[in-house]
Amino acid sequence: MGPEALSDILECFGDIIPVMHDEHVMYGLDSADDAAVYRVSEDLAVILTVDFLTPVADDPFTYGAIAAANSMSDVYAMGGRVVLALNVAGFPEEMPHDLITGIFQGGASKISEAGAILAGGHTVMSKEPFYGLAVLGFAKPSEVLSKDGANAGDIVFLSKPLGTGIITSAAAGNAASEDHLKSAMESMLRLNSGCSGMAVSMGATACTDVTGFGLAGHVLEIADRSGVMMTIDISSLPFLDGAEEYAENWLFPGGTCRNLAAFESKIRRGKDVEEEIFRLIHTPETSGGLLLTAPEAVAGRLRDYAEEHGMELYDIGRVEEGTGLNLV
Amino acid sequence: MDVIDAKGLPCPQPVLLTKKRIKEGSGGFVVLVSKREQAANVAGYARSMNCSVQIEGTEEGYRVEVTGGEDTVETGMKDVRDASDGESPEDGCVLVINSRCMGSGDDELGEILTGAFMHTLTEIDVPPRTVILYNSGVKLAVKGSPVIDDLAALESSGADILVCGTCLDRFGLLEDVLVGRVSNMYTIAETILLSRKTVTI
Repeated sequence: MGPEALSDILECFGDIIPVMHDEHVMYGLDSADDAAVYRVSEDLAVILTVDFLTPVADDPFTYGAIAAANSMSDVYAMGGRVVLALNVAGFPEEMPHDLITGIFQGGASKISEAGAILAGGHTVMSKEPFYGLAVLGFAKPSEVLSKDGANAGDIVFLSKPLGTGIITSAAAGNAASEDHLKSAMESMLRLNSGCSGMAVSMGATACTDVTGFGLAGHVLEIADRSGVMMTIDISSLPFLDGAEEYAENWLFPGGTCRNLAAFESKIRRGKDVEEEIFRLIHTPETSGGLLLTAPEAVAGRLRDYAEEHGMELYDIGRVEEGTGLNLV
Repeated sequence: MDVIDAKGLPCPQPVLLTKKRIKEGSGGFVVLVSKREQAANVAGYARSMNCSVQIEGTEEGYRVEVTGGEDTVETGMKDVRDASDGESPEDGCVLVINSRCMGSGDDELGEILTGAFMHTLTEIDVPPRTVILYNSGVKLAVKGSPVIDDLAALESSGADILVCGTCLDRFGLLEDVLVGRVSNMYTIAETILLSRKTVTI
């Protein structure tokens, strides 16, 4: 769903749904973070989230695995570890059973890779296939990461290159090369667990994952919730091979325009930011990387740790006083 | 003129059809699409190939007219805009339009004057470098505007048209913009303050 339509609907939630308060709820409806968080005790917070996708890959196993990685990413964005997962699915009546089995197998393999347990699920008939997970995670309440902790002076990091959305869009039009599509798939399959664990242990200040609103939308979420301005250096952004080429050919999915309409008015766009790249950072991503902020002192340790462990981590900007997103 | 009927096709299909058609060459053509995002992507691609583009709203969606191309002498918007970055005072002024009516007193007369003014702009030797539309001025750049063709012509000849996003949002017109780019107060303020000559009508 486009960000504007969604915010229209959510805006009237307060009128149609009675306000529910509980002092144990650390993050709920009103905080619009990546997942709901409930403080059980001083040592334990449970994290709950649900997400599903329509097919993003031709191969059923790959699709299932990507959808599962994408669902679990919300727990990682909150700084938690995944404990339990339930399948949430819908398939057309006439869909061959081996395809459905393949999707479930792909999902289960990712859940297992995350060290979690698949404990059940619910499947309905649906004209268009969809698959994802309801996920339960654990964290220490004091270690929960959220969108509202960024401070002026922090460094902004991204843990995966951008471009999954434009590459799958180009592939839908048979205009993407096999190599480009393959690396996009590999990127979407990668769990955000390692980066999340590093962010928690080193003391990141804010965190979210880059998905449907594109980099620009998710950066703005941190800026809005933290009350800061985020300056992103376009030249430092990592892109998957092929992403920029497809952007230059304007093979954007429809979601790019919807994101632009919702976010453009909050963005200060530097003179040298080309239209195609500007649109590319508004393009929805699937199972994208984590977007982190951390103080300068922590940033150095994050870089060292990532390098030592062969993890991807890109410096993409800086947090400053102000509001909105500043592209330079 | 050839018509590519891409109505109902999702992105990026309309762009791929446009790309194929531009490669084949020979004259202008029209692409019909259902949604604004499809029109925007077709227009963006065509402009990047140095074509001139005009978008019109229709009952069923949008009509994108593409003319010129790489091997013609006609210059696309991009080149002209790049050339005009050279900040010379002769390059035209920044024109601020803060109302859909020119002058105050009689709105009907104001609209006629705006129409005449916009049309004249397309015919004079030194058109504005940038046109900033805010408050009810943004209504000039949306579906149903009487001056949409003139604004489109200004844009094709290289003018940067900035349409205030907050204003569009206020009027519920964000989805209806046909010309220019949706902008914000940073860019608008910066453009006005950095310009050597700003004219408000």
